Amino acid sequence: MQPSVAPAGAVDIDDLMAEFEAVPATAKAIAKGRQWVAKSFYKGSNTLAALRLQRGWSQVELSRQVGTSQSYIGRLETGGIDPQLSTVRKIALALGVPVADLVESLSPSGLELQP
Amino acid sequence: MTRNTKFGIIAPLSLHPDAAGDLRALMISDSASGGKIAAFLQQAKNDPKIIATLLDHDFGDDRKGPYHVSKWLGFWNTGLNLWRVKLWAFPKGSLSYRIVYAYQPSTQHYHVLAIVHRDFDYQTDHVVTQRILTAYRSLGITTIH
Repeated sequence: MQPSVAPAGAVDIDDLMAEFEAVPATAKAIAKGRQWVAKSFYKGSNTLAALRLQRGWSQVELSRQVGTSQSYIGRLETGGIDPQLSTVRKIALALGVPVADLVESLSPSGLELQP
Repeated sequence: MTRNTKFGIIAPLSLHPDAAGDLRALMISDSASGGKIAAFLQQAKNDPKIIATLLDHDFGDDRKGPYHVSKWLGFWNTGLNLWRVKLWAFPKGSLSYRIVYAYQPSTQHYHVLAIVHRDFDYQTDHVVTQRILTAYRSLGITTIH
């Protein structure tokens, strides 16, 4: 596979979201959009992504709340890393969920793409 | 760059400037719909399970999934790797927009080319179709056949 390079002028969705979230009116619509994604695509799921989306947060926002990087949150959501307990505690505190619930949520199997 | 995860590779997704313009306009005219589409695209980029379905023709047909994926058959049959996704929303019909995108197999890159109103019926001579084709050709994607 060739290395992927976005074509000139291409816009990264994360950059566009940051643009929308800089304006209060559109930031509210984005947060509601994420909650809709949680409800529609992660129905009954308690994965980290679902918990984050239920709050209307981006990975960037969760990483800011926890004091880590977006890429770290991304890898956590896809099961790419095994976090330290101290990190789990910070994330649970940020999301307002019990630590035990968050430990369970770090198994990324909850995407409900089929009814 | 693609990202490797325990559950597979997350392919990159970006918006053509035309599609970014569509989404910016939608955030002004109908921010509720724009917010849902933008949130879907961002989560598709983040979740390998979602993005993998975007090449699964007829995924979600008859509301068996939260969205319906389809090749743009009129162009697919001529070798263009063009797709569209329709997000289901409740109440039915409350989300009136479709996402048109291209896939570049050599780089596993998804290029969002347009956000179109459901009234757009993919006529080949429509000005929006012509805009999409111009954007597609600028990507240099090798034809399928």
